[in-house]
Amino acid sequence: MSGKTIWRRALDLDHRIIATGIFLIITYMILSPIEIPFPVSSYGQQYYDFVTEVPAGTTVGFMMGDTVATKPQLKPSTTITMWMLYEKNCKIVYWYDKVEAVGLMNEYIAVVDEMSSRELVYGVDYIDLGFIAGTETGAVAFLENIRGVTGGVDVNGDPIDSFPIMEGVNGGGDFAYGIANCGCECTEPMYIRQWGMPYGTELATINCAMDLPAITLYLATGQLRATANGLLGSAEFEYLTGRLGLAFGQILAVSFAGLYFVILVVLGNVFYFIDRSQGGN
Amino acid sequence: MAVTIGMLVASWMCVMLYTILYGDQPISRFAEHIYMGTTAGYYAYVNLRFYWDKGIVQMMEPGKIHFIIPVILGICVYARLYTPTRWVYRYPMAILMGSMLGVSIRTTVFSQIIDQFILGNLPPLAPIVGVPAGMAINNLIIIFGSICATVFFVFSHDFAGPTRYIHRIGRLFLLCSFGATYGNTTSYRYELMAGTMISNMLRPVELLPYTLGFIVVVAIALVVIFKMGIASWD
Repeated sequence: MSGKTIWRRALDLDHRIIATGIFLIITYMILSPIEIPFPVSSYGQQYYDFVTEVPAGTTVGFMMGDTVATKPQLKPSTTITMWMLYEKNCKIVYWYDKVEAVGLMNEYIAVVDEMSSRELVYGVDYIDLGFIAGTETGAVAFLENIRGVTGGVDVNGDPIDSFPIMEGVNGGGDFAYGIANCGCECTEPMYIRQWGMPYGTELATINCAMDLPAITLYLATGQLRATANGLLGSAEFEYLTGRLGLAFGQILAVSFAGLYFVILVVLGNVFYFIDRSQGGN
Repeated sequence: MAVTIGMLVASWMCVMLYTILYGDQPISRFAEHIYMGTTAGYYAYVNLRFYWDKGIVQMMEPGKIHFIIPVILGICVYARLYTPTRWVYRYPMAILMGSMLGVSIRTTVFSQIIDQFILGNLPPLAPIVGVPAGMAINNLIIIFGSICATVFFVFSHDFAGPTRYIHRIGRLFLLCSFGATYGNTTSYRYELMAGTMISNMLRPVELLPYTLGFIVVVAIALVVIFKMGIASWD
């Protein structure tokens, strides 16, 4: 006998068994989903209202900094946002500050093209200005003088002045509305201070759940108009637009993984106190 | 949907990468090295292309000879790869850090300090009278919390007597903030796992049998590795 109580042995459970438990729960919930109530949070509603509010025909600036890691969570809110804007005949100017977005841009455009009720025309409905290196310094220079930083050419090397969408657009102030998909880099405050505040652009972000506490302050003050918060934001956006898909399927698995974690925390505390009351240390 | 080689590689790599949960062993290390290598190569390519397109090509155009400055600074960054010239890279890095600090401080003061206080923390823009009770309480908590949390970072004063409570309350507000961040971080990790599984391992449905096959193969390999003592279970 080792002298350990059953409670202590439970507390000393190998972390690999706990990890396997999460793996099994997520897999099971993805393969055999069940129906649970789905309330829409104020963040989700706020973001939906923001995209709905954008006037028809507006030219919107879209910093598309999604990454491969955040793609499963943020792709739904990103593509549905793009689709909603195109349905209102809005024009979108894309650029990105993340290397990984280079490969994702065309994929997202193709998805939206399929969703859209009309064929999207490059240079008229959208333009891709490509990757802008330098993070904050790059963003500042780009938003001050788009032609200066891009050399006056788009991602394909074609002169941007030959496209009607770029007429009268040469800086952050030329976008009345802007959307920044910041992935999980916590660059939202950067776009608020370098784009939203100095140029007066109405700004919303698409970001992972981890970034939410950092941007809640800006939402409260109105410096940031709305946020699509991670997977939950994507699922809410799918729900509100009636286009249930990838995010809605995942959110159930994440909810149950969270529940599993909460149960472990509660049990851990209960076992700890029982063990201590029985003379454990 | 047809299963492509890309999907198979993604699924295979994900299964191998997740074995890191079972300790440090050759399978996860192999997958990790492949992942890091391809990512580094991809990043280098995209950044070098930006350097070429927006630097060297622009420099060649008439009237844009001043682009030679960032082009030279860009080359200097790569001096780090060769030990005798490693010191050279400090100059472009110093300029980069300096300019980044300059452009961020310019606007940080307004957007993250002054405007935050004016718009969010002080009446009349954060009113506590003449508004619904819930909003008034919220605003009161924000005003009170901001002041107490700021006081926590005053290190030049010893908070004794009644003022120590302000200091302690400030610490509580900070801990609440860290707790919220931790909760969101945990949630994000689950999202990451669920997203990876659904996108790379379980969907489309045709991929599922291959993923299960990979899991079985990797599990057998892990057992062999631990039994042979190549890696330790403990």
